[in-house]
Amino acid sequence: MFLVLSFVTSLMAAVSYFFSVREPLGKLKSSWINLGRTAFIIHGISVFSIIGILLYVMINEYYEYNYVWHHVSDDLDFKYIFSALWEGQEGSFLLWMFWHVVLGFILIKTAKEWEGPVLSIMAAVQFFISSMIVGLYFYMGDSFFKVGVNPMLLLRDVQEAPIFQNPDYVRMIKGNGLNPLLQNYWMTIHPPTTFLGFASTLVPFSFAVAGLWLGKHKEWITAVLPWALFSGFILGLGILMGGVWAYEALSFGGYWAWDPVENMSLVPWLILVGGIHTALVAKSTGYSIRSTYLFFIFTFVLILYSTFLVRSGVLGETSVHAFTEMGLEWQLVIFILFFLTVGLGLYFRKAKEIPEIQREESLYSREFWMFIGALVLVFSSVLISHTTSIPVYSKIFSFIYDLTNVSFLATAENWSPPEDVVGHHNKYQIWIAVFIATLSATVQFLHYKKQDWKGKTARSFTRYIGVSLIGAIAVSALISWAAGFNAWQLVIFLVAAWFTIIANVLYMVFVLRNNVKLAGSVLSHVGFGILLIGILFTGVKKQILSRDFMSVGVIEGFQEEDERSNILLRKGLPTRMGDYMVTYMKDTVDRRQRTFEVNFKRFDEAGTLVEEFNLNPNVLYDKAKTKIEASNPSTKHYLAKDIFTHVSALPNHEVDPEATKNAEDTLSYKPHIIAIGDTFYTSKHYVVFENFNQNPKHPEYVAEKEDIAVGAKLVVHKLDTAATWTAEPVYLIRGSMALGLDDSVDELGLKFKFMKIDPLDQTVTIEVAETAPKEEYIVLQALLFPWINLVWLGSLMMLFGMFVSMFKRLKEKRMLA
Amino acid sequence: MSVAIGVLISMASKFSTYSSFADAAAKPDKSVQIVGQLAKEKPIEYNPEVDPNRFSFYMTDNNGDEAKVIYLDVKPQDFERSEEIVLTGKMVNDEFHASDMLLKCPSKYTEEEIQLKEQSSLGQ
Repeated sequence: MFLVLSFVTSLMAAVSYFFSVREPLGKLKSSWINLGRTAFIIHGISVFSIIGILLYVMINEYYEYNYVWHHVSDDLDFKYIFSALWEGQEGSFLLWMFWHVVLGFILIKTAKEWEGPVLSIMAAVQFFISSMIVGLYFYMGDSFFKVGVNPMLLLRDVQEAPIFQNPDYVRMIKGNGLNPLLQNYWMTIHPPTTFLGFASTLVPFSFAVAGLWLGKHKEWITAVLPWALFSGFILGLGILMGGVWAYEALSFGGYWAWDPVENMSLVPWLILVGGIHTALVAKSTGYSIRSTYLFFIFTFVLILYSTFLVRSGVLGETSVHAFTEMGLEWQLVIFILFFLTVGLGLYFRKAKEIPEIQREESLYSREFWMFIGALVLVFSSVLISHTTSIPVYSKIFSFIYDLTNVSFLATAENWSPPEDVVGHHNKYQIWIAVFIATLSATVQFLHYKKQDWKGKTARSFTRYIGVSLIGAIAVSALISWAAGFNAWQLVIFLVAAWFTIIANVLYMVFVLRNNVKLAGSVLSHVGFGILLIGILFTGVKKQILSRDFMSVGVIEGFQEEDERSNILLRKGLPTRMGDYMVTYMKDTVDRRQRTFEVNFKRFDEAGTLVEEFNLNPNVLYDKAKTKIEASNPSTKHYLAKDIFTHVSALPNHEVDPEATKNAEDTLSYKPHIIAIGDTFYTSKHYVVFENFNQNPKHPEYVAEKEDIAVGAKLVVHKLDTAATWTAEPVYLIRGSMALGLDDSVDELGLKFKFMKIDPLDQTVTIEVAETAPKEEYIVLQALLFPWINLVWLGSLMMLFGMFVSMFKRLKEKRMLA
Repeated sequence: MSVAIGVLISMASKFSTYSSFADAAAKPDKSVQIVGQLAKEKPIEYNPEVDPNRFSFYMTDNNGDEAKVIYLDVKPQDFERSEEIVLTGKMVNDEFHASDMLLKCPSKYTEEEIQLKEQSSLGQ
């Protein structure tokens, strides 16, 4: 019911607000506004209610609902219930709508004269998103088409299975649960932040449309700036969290992989940042109003496009984290096209009346170079989205080929992304980064509306830029020498990064005179420089510690020997990795998680221990404990580097315990009847029955009051060495039942069963089976990331700078009002 | 500006395309991408005790040709369940040496199988 209500009220709000804009000031206008407001508030309450109800059925594990069955299971921790909520498409649409509602409520309170047009657009967007989850079917004769997928569908309506014949089926089924890869606190905080980022881009878009609609081409810029900065901050934070998650908790072995999903959230952010810069130009000079409109329109349209790529399944084989298809493709396409048309249509209709300064920007002015910078960001975005969209082109053009048979499209079906995606993107983006860094250093010392190159400004520009550049070259030369960079590209990259850092620090100290309130841009640009240095070091100086020298050269024809990044660690056997001696010590099992203790030791030249620490990577088994579902890394953090490890493979008997168990069931056991002190032989060992144990401890045994439990203490000797092992199978009498609890010595491949006690003879029957000894080892990947902290620090500074600027622009806006 | 347009045109005019084993054998020095399916009846070998960085299996490409694939890394989890494999690499003496491998496992997120609760355990 709430689904339909939210769907209808969003349309009502959009329409009412729409009419309010068309009315001149007066009674009718305010009643339209009131109607729109009421509709939007009811819409908001319905969205909250849907989320509330969905959470309620999820918390109570009502598996008759398809969504609950899919994403929840009995053993799911309560803390992951929110993650389960937004794991699916429907839930993530709800999360997105939730943030639109929150932002809408804030705008109803604060937007004043902008409320009508802005909320009208937002409600229209809500209408489209609600349509994705409304789940209506339209019948046309025999055929029907569906609009959206209802998250509250019952399982029996979605699937067919004989079990539904049973009236009691709900008690018998269990949920699928949350993908173990996602059972992680990042899954709790990353999606809400990213979706708030997505949602926040709607506000600048709505203001842009409102500006065009009302013809207030200057006023909207002041109103939009704080929102655009907020959006840049929060969307950037969402992307950054994705990177940290990939690095910290998933075994991707890095923070950025140019994956389509990453790219398509980065691209709107780049365009948004471009828009922030042209908006600043527009506000100070009146130039670039048109481009600002376009920047904010495209930011949102690109968010929609990225939604389409992720949710339509079109990325298929090119991305690791695309959703599966839900049959919403055409709905998503209409969604994009509608708002692209609204934005651009309005823009071209009003383009003539947008005020424009006839004179070209002067080459010596800040506005000229800021505009160039924004264009470079567009260029970067076009390159990234072009490559990312290849699967889309392939779909479209192979479709055209099927229709037209134009020969040059014959290969369209087989178009693929570049072979080396990372190298391909880096090749272009590195130079774009150098250019942007250079601009963000120099432009700080240029002035708005400056026409010529004379006087004090020119002199101080030369002085500051000269000092910064010389400083940057000196520092970079030193670092390049110390780090052993000898490729000129790397050195230039480093110089550009230091150039923007030094120039912006000088600007802060000598021009802004340490006024923190104005420091937003300085923070962001210094942060960008630091980020670049971090990227350079983690990218170029990344080191594979677990390089496997032992088996190098086994396969002929492979040039890329450095691909061998995994190493086998036998339990207890120290192995050299880089500066460390690494030993796999032991493993512990807790429910579905198996945690490994890996010991790192570093010695100096004299052989004394200087450093020692343990890392604890783990693996998660699936519910039935038959398969490994996730391998979680463990990382040692230092100020200047990280050591990252994860278990990449395990012996077969641990990867597939089921197969191992089947093999065990077919083992043949040999009985031995023995008394205390007796010895019996196996093929390679002899076993001494030492004594009984009246208080046996066994991992599978929980003592109860009336139990009679006895352990048989066995000592195993190898025939050829002096080493000994112990085992203690247990014999248990509980009530009228008697059973034996087995024990084993895995290292030797021996298994013991305690079959019988004969109280008269004082003998016991022990059965023994021999298997191949189990090798205990892990295959480990260990990577060293130098200066990865600079990546985090730089990104955070960059985003925090936007946050600081947001407050500055908010204050300005208030002063104008 | 003209540089920018130049880069764009050069990028747009050359798409890589998915290749085939036959094609890769014809151009042994060129790195290619091939889409295909795991040949399930053929051996899948990974023995970390011999070499933790050598995983081999057979794949059938979209033309129906089959070849042995060697991948210098560990065996990925859930490999047997993969519906589609995308390889990047070269053909060397009738074996395809993959430097990169991408798996498509659609069932990962939608396990369309209703599992029953286990019968309550031990002693009842």
